[in-house]
Amino acid sequence: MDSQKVDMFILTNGKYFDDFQVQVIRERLLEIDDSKWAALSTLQFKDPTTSLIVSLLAGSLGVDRFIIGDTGLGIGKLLTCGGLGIWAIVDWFMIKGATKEKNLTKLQQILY
Amino acid sequence: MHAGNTKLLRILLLLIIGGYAWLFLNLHISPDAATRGEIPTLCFVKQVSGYPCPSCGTTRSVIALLHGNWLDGFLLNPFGYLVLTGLLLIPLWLLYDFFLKKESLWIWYAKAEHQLQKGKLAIVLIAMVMANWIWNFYKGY
Repeated sequence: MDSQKVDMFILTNGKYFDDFQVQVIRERLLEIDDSKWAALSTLQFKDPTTSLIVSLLAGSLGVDRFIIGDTGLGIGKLLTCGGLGIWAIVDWFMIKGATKEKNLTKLQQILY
Repeated sequence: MHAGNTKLLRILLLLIIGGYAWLFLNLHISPDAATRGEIPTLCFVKQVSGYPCPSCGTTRSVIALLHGNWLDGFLLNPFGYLVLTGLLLIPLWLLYDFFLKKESLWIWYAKAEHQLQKGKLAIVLIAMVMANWIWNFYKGY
């Protein structure tokens, strides 16, 4: 794909992914053809910082997991009051990474 | 083994071990220990806001169910039924999968999650959770 478009994509969406992944994504984007641009530009990603804030405020209710699409885990968290509180704390540290992983999976469906 | 399966297994194992440890702890001390301050109250929501969360009372409910008090178990918090079922079912299911070299739990989980995300069932469940939460308020937890 045209390198200008690639740079634009990275600029707008870099923050939704892990640092290591951005380089790989960039290379892959350069390889694929321009017809995918339409699909790519309509993709919406979840902001890891928003997930973190939600996790800090309502983590015990599993809301953070629900918004990144981990419905099953969200239910588990809700039923156990944030996994006896421990899971809630663990997720404060894990939720940003988890959000970025989910974003990557979504992107990979178009990239590959 | 599917990557998602490994992740699920890790989480389930931690939940099961933590769940049984917590239950064991509660069976050997008085259920009011948390209110008297002998063990920490697990619920963040309660610590920070003073209000109960939808799953408050689940531990007491499971203990009541283990003593055969089906009604008390429901009245304390219906989630107790779900948690108890999970605590009993999941280890058995995991053993089944382990010995028969299958991934049936993961497959069921992925299908169920997909169904839930469709929306209609989700709204019903959310309504039930909210109703349970409001009920907890009335019970004065």
